[in-house]
Amino acid sequence: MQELIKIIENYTEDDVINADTNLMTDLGLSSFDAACIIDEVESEMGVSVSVKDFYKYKTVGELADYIASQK
Amino acid sequence: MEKILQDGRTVNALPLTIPQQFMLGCSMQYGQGALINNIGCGYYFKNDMDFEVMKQSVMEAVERCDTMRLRFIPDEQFKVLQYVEEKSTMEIETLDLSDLSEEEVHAKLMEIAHGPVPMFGCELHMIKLVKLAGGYNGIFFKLQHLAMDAYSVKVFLKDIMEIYLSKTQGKPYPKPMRPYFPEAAKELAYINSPKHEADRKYWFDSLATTTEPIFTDYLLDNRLKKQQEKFPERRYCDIHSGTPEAGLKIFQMSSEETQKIMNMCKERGLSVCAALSMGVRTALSVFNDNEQDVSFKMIVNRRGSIGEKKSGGIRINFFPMRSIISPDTDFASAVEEIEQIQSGIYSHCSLSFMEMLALRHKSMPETALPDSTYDSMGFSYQPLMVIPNVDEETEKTAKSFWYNNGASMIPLYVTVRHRADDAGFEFVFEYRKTPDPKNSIEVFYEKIRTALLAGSENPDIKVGEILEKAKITPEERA
Repeated sequence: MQELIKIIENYTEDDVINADTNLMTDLGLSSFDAACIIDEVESEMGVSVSVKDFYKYKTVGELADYIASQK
Repeated sequence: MEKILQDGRTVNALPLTIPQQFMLGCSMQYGQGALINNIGCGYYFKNDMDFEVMKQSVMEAVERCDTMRLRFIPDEQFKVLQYVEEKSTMEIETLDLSDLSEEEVHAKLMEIAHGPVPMFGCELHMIKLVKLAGGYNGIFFKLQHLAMDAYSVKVFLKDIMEIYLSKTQGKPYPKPMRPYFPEAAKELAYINSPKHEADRKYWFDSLATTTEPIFTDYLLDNRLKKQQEKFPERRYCDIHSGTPEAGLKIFQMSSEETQKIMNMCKERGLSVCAALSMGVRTALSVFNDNEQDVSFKMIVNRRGSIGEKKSGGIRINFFPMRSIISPDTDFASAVEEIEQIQSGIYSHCSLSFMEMLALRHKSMPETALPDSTYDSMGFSYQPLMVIPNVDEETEKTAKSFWYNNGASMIPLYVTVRHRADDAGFEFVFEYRKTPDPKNSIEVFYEKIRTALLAGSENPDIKVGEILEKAKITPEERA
């Protein structure tokens, strides 16, 4: 989870990011942000996330759980 | 990084980045004396604006934003260099237009926006505070596009408003902006890097090794069909118009309809940008006998990290957005296909457009002319940028206007953005006046709207059914 939060922090000025933070409505990430985060997750964490999955998992916690399950 | 002597002191200078070079090249190739490098816009709200405090806020925001203090200079080899001036010498005057009607105000500001923007050795930008009738006040900008793009302008405006609100209402002072040079240096370091090579390979594989696309026109008088009378096998089209003179048409989608589309995207987990692209590609399909293979230029503002978002400058790039979608596909799945294509584009979006065109020309006939293309138009989406902590009255009454500069480097540029007051979609069509589009622009917008509403009311509707709903009527064609 912390590794994912560290990546996401680079794309937003929001100070509080936790498991319940909604990627789109709380952080207002754009589709360009989403593509950049997906690329970083792949290069830093070694897990490939599709765009569809990124939008499917709405919170940071859900996305982190999905990434952990793919490792 | 180069060291140059400027006004008796040494400053760090950089060459132009790829987007700046492209913009400068286009203005030389397509400008033909017209101005395509100026951006004019205004932000107005109904509130008792304290003009002195607003002036201080603007100056503080200028000090915080490097590219508001950018300077260009030609070196001995006529190469253009850029550096950031420490202190701004900008004069901010107040224009009292309170005795003019709204129409007269916009005509006046349009006239100012159309005026030339300077390039070398001086302030590049102009800012004026404006006093309007009916208690409205605001800020007008005329900016040099080589230093600021629409995204930078919005971030700069947000900064001004947050500084102003911190001074007048005690709201939190905004976080710092980010320096421009590190981001520009990263852009320059990209050239000939391994990432550049990887991007070249991606675009070569997706452009030069696939089947030839087909030109899809936004004009009802289809230009490819005419050219096919002479050259039946032709799939590209020569769209040289002779003049970049452009007009502007803006269509307002109601906030209810906008909300319907936004809600559908939220419920189905779809990107709004991809949904809007689906609307555009459906309209192109309708205009071209329900063609399944549709191409347009996707215009991307490459800003992900906070450093990229808050450092000003220009980061726009153009990409061929080609999608082949069968009429049996449902709307939501088609949007997902587009998302997938856009994600590929975003991951490889630093390659210069000229390099991409060179790669695509490998699959074009050798006789192709420079103005031959598969893309009749360009599209971009500018997501909503909220100015936080604005009081309700200001938020409800806020209006933003973009003043076109009277020329366009691409034949049709559709930008979708959100209105400042109710967040409804605003579809901005900047189109070349030659050839005369007649009623094509109005009909094209209606087809985009029909497709988006049909898809948001029922995301499982088949693309073929949407094409049927959006069929061009004989009256529209007349």
